[in-house]
Amino acid sequence: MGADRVKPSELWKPFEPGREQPWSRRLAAHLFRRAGFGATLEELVAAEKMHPAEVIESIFQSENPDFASRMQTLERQAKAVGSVERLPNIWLYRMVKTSTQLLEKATLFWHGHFATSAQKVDDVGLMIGQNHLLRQNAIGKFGPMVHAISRDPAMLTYLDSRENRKTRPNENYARELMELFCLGLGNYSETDIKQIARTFTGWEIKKNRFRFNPYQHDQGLKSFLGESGNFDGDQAVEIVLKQKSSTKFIAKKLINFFVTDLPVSDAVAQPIADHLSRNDFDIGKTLRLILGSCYFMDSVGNKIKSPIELGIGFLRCLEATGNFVSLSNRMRELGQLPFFPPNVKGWPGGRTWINSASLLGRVNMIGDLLRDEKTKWAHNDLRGLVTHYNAGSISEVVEFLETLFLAKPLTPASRKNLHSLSGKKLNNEVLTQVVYAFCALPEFQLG
Amino acid sequence: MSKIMLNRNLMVCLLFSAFTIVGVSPVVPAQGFEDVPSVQASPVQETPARHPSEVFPVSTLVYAELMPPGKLIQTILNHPIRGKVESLPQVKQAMRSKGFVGFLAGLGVVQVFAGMDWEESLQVLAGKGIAFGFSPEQNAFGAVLLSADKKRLLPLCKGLLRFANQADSNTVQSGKHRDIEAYSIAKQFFIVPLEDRVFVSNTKKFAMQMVDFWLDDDQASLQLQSQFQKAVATRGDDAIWTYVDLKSIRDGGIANGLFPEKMENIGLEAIAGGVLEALKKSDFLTGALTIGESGLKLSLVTPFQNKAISESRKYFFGSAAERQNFQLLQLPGLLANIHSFRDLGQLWISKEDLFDENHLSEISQADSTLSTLFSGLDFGEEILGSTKPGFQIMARNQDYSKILTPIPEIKIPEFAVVLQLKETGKIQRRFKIAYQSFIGFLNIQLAMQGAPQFELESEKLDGSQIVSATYLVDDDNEEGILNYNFSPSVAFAGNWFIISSTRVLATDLAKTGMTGAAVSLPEINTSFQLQGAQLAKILSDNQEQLIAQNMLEEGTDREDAKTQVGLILDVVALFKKASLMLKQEPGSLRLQLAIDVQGNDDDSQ
Repeated sequence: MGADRVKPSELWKPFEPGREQPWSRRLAAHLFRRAGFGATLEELVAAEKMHPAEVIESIFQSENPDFASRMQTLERQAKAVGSVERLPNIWLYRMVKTSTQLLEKATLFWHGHFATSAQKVDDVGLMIGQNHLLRQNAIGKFGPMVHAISRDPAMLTYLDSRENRKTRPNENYARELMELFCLGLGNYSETDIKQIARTFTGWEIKKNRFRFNPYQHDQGLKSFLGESGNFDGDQAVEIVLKQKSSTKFIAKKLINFFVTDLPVSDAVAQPIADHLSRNDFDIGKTLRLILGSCYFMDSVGNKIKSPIELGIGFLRCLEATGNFVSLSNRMRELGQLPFFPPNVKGWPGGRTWINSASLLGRVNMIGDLLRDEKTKWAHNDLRGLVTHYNAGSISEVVEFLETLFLAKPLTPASRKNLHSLSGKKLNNEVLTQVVYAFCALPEFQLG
Repeated sequence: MSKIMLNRNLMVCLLFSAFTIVGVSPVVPAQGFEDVPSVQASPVQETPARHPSEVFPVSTLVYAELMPPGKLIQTILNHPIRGKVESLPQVKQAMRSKGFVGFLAGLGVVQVFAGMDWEESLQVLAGKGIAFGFSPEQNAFGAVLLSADKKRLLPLCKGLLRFANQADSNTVQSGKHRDIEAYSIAKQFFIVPLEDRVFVSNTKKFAMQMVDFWLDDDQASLQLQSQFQKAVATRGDDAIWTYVDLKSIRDGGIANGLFPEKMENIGLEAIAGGVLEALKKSDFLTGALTIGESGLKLSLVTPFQNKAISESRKYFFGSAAERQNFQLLQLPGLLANIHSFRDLGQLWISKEDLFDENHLSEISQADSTLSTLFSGLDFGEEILGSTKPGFQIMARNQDYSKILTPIPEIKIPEFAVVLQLKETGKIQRRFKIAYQSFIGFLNIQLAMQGAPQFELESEKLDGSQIVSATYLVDDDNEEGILNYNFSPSVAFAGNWFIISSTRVLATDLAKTGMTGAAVSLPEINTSFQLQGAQLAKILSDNQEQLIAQNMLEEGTDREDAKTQVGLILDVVALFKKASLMLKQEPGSLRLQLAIDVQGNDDDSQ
């Protein structure tokens, strides 16, 4: 279903399996890859037996309180040490271990959207606080999230707004609020930035907490985005969110993250924007619409896996776990270390993930995970894993991997290459070679 | 394939040189042996036990004896720690590794060729001990394996050599030396079984030389060297005993780096400067290791004369009277306790003689900064010089019920430095002012970081004065931060001067100081002691941190991480005490390491 050939309203119609496009393990794998980091064969088999709408509903579950509490224990230890370098290890661990995959994926999306780097903030407590804020609102409503992020100490530290005085309003947050967070370029003027900056005067961070200082707040009249009044920061956020361009801006970002790396036209984004408008910016409801749509089910292979999707997906799909400190180091080399986005624009994603150097690095990351003695596999080892799923030959192993990982079917040439290992005894060494060769394929890079 | 063969050769050589081997036909006569003049071996007579050192030349600079190894290995294999260590997942994983499984398989094959298991082989080959010598002059080492079963020695050697030959065809060659059968493995190891012993060397010449020394009485062997005899006279009933000829090493220009004229590091100088100078003036060093179920003890001993030590290093050893005056505070329940006789003022003043130019400039900078902190007083003469020689450093697990701040998430032991002042009065006030300045400086730094700041307090207690700084905690402060482990304090109790990381420890030490409960240990120059129970406690107190680390580094779930950390704590719990001491004994200097563990019985050998 090409987005350019079909009426936009048709694109977002709920997907119904049919003869032309039946609901299959491979389609379920696509859903789990995009709405999370991938699924095991067991999960795919279970999903195949359900209606796609039921599967989608199941991924909107809330986080298990026991799991959340255990993660908080890990975070508390990181806080005690006081090193922000530990934070990526904890989040990567969480991504692999959590059962609420969509929640983590959406939190990662918002982390890239409201990009804040621990490199500059350099405070474990503040970064953890922002991470919780994003997770709490990840599949909730956008409005409250923008209000909360506007007062978030980590964000305000990152954008140099710890002190915002009426005599010298800091324009950083006002600019990013419109350019990167809510409206996008071209939907505001420099005057709007200056005026909105005045509404945030008196918003301060003291002892790592947000504080409103009425003595430093500009009480004068402010005029921006067609409205005038003695607005404060919260009112400014409301006015920004009321702009028509805001829903379309968020709709496009959601589509780009969850559906396709290709540019999204206004026409394609409009139904989603309208849905956001009608539902008070409800991200959860909007994601249900997106993930359950014909367009989404038709977008298989339209994205390039980010380093996190690649590494975490590899571990999750193969029911493995490993050394998250080493994995963090690899993520840093590949340019997607959680808590450390490159700048306020976040990770550009898409084709920027792949170049000749990073492609080699991505393959090496898989090689590291395969060879690392600390990588532990369900059912003891790789051999035990494939045996558990009745894959007793090279071709069966390739089929097993294809189901788990590939958005597009293997090309005949790739298949031939992989089958060149046939005839060897299927021990762990050979299996490692097969998995490594499989993950080095161009097809493996697509999500 | 060649790699596999090399591994097999190594295994055989390992058995030969450490636990031995030797062998036999079918082997190929080696050209190398035929050029050695054949001399009829003297008829072997039953003689009283001869010292194995008689087969080593005087050029042997390092000599070691291990005897008998069977009991030692049994002690290790049967020790309760072994079972605990083997239950660790990391060890289990290593034991499942390809390398280890391959080793076990190889060992199995060797045992088949030997006709007995490895422990029995060891008994037959070297049941009465092993002696080892190294001669840098000949670039050769030699070992003598003393069999406990002379009758079965040759058949065992033959079996093992057959294995070597089968693993790598023609790797074993044979020849004769003075009508005695000798063998080489891959021309890398030379082996001569003779009577109840086997001679092994990495060079043919050295191997034959050992045989000659054994057969002939008139050889100038290591055993006859007077210096070696002096060293042997000190030998006890140790599992492993070693002798190092320091004089020849120095004279030969070997290991010059060990004896620098001037030091590059003040820490190293304070820890080891005197010992290195003593070694520089000593002829030899002996080492002895005793291993039993209750632990191990390692002693390194060298002849020592205090008067031979240079003036600039008098600070290290002091005089008998000065050492007698070095008093130590005794506090129960310590995690670690270090005490050392060092005249720090003297060390600082002698810096020009002790350190190289680069390090001297760094010390001068530090001197200037420290003099500023101490209101312009000369740091060497007036500050360090105001203290008596010797200091103590103590570490203790904290009692968090006594601290005034929230309990930190990561628990760090409290520690203190204890010094004795030559006189009380004005200098105490100087130290107090320097401490207050330091806390003031810290407060500025903490304020800049938005961290809680220190509040200064001073209290008098039974004649002592304690000045402490405690974090001022309010509702805005974060809980559980590392900072709450500290309440830096100084205390003055009589002429005791205590610098502590916490108020509680400073107070306890001040109380102890006022009771006069101090001891003198003049024969111990330096001592470090670590208590196992307290170590287990601090690790247990930080269990959550260890579990978190395990989860992230091993990818485990919390339950698995908890189990793994628990196993590590179980192993640590078997450790009772470790101590490292430098003792000044009459005529000698002894460095002694002792590690005590929980064993079945205290059955040391």
